[in-house]
Amino acid sequence: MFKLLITLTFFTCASLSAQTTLKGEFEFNKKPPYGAVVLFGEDKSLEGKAGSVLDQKDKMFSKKIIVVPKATTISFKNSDMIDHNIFADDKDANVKFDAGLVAPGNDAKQASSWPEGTIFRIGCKIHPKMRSYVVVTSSAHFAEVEFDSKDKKASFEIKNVPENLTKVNIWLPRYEKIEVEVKKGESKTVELKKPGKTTVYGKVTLNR
Amino acid sequence: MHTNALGLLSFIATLFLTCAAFALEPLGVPDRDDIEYPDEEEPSKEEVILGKTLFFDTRLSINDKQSCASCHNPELGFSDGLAFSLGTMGKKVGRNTPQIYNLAWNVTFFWDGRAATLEEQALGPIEAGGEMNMPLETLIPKLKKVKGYQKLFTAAYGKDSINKENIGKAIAAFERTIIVDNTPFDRYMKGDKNAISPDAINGLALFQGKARCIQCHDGPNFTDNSFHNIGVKGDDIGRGKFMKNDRTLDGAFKTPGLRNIIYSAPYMHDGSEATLEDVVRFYNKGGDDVKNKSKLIVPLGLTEKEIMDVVAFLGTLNQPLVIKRPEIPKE
Repeated sequence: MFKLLITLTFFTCASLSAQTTLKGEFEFNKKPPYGAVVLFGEDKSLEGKAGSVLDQKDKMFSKKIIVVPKATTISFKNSDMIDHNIFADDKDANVKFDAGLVAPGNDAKQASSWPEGTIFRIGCKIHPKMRSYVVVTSSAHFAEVEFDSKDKKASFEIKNVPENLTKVNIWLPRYEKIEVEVKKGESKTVELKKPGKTTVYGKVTLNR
Repeated sequence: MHTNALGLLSFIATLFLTCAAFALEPLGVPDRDDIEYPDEEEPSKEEVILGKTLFFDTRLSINDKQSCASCHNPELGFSDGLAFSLGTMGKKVGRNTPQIYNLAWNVTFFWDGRAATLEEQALGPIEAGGEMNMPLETLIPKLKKVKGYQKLFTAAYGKDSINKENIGKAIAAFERTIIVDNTPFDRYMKGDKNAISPDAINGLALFQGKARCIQCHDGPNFTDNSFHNIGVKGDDIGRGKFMKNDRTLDGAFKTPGLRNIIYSAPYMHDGSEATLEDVVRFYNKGGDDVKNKSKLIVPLGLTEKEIMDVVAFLGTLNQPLVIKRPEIPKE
């Protein structure tokens, strides 16, 4: 019995020590973009599992950026008092759909058949000011980071990350995708750039 | 505190409460920090100069007769005074020319919102058969032959940069500089209680109250950027063309912004209302009796005095802009 207790304690401690937290901060040189997703892309545990729900209220999406796992669905819920018609026509991401008219209290579902790593913009055909970005990743370890246009900095945290996951992916719409290795106890800073441009738009600092 | 100042504060508080109740964006002064430039960067001076030159150059039309400014004439409120503009071949186009003030804050373009960016919009009328009728595959070599354009494009985008993308970018860059944000209304909102007349102050209260204008014309640029069928007769289905299973937007068109609106008569997507007074009277009767008319459009019951007060308020949204013509390169 004593031996069993020792063994359980050992595995519990080992399990606990294997969980880490990634903290980070974005800092932009000028106005920040809409949002970002930071994730551990080595993990694919959510593929085909529960999908995501994006709500709409007061002519706004409930999130500026949302993660949806591959091979699931994203549900566009309408908690507003008016109709909405969600659509995507993002040529860069090769994503095009029209979820159709959704009355208040209803929702529209869209199959997430897009490849891992796809990032695309969605909007409402009736209310063009509405905007959000969908990021396809099956990682269970991610942070959806929303930026405030008046604040050049934004911080985030991903808790309970297994220590063996070390590759951090940083994805922002229309930015170069970044992958950087960050092990427990390490700090890294990476620059944010756009495809084909040498300009540095900001940086992200990661501490684990 | 002075009574008038208290009145202004009370008005602003009421405005915010009204907007909060209906999820409307409060009226106010446009914030240049809110402009979403492509790549989060303001265009360079060289880019704007190039864009302005292209905007005023008739060589962008197939027969060298029409420039963007032919329909978007700065002296006519960046419009042309016609109900239906004329294309470069002399035929009427399908809709009234919209004014182009404060497009820097806009999110959808054309009366039916078919362009998602100003860059995309800028190329549309150039290529449209009924408008400037100029295929880009013809325009690009035409511009490449002009030494002046070789210099302008090089200054803005580097060597060998005369292409479709940069033509759209440059024109959009110039258009984003056409900004109206220092009108009498703006000064009133900043606390100058004498910036607008008592009639206009009453018109402003009506605008966001009994006259219901703010239901669509909200925010600092007086537009919700959305689409409404306001009850104008005709068979143009507007936004309905882009809807999959929604016929309620047949006959709906984008809410135009109202800054400098006084200069760009006639009004509506078909130019059917000659003056702003006509427009207010149109809304006062609840529009015409057409299918799919928005539920927001109802008879208003404005008195004659109230109609004129709303018009007086619309007149406070003006800020004359003097646009000096660029030097068009001859060769």
